[in-house]
Amino acid sequence: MELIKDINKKLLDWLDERYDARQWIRENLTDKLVHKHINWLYCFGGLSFLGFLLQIGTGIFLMMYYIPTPKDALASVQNIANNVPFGWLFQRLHSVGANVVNLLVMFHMLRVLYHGAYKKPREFQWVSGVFLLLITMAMSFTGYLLPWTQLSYWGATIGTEMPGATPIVGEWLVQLIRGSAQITGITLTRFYAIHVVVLPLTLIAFLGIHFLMIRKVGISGPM
Amino acid sequence: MAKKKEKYEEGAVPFVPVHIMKEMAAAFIFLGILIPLAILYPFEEFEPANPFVTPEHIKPEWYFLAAYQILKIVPSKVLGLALQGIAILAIILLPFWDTNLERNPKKRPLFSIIAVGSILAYIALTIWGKYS
Repeated sequence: MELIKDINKKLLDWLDERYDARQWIRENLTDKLVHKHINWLYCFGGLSFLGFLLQIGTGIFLMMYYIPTPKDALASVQNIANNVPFGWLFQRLHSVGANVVNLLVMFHMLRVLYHGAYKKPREFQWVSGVFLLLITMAMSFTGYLLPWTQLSYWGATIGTEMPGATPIVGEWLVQLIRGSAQITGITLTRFYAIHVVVLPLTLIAFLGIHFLMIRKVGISGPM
Repeated sequence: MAKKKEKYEEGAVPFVPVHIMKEMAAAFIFLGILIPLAILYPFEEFEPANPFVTPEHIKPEWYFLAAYQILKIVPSKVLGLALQGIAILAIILLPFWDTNLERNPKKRPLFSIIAVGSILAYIALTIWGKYS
């Protein structure tokens, strides 16, 4: 124990000399206060974030084996599920996790709604939060097509038909989303790029704003 | 240590270690539910896509069922889409139209009724979408 304490102290001294580590820890962690009434309901935001991290982790793993072409997509997913060590676990965690993250974000939103925590001065926390939910849903929608199964193919067909009813630009919107008249290999690579690059980066940007604002304004006080 | 404690406001707790412990406990409970769920109830369906055969009962995932059902029950597709757009816009702009600073749900009955009504409508549409 003494040895650990000694190493700990030396490490902190070393960091202190360079980065004022102890002061940073005090200001941002141990002296940072939150209201006493904060209970388990307040954990859904953090859990959504954890779920997102889990999706990133398992997603990167799946990317190493997944092949985004109509010919190989399903076979590569089955390869992950059947042959890759622990692949079945990662694949299941990723697909079940997607549903769970949607649920967690909704619970978090309901908690904020119940506590009226979106009111001044936290208006933009709510706005960024709704965008985070929409991005999460878009992640689920694009990811659903990737295994290229009968369900995912027709799910994407129906989903991408919806904006077609928009006046004037409807047809063009459907074409833009699909990249072709029907769901094809072009749609698959398009959804893949959006799923693994565009949406995660957008989500991280919105999360950054969301967290910075909470840090600045603080968690809402008692009602 | 004694000095630091004096700086805390009445009733407030430090983020680290008090609140973070709660978050971490919740995280472990969450993982304890998610991992068995993923192992025991996987969403697996490996029937290859066939562009020439439309399945009989094709439904979106549960979180899209309400939106899907609105499009089905509203006679005009444009109107259905417009309703969805208005609903999403109303949710995004919520803090700008519900500007009453009272936060207790019991002391703002009109808003509480609207909120609970909307949530029940979403759940009802989801269930309707699932079983129609």
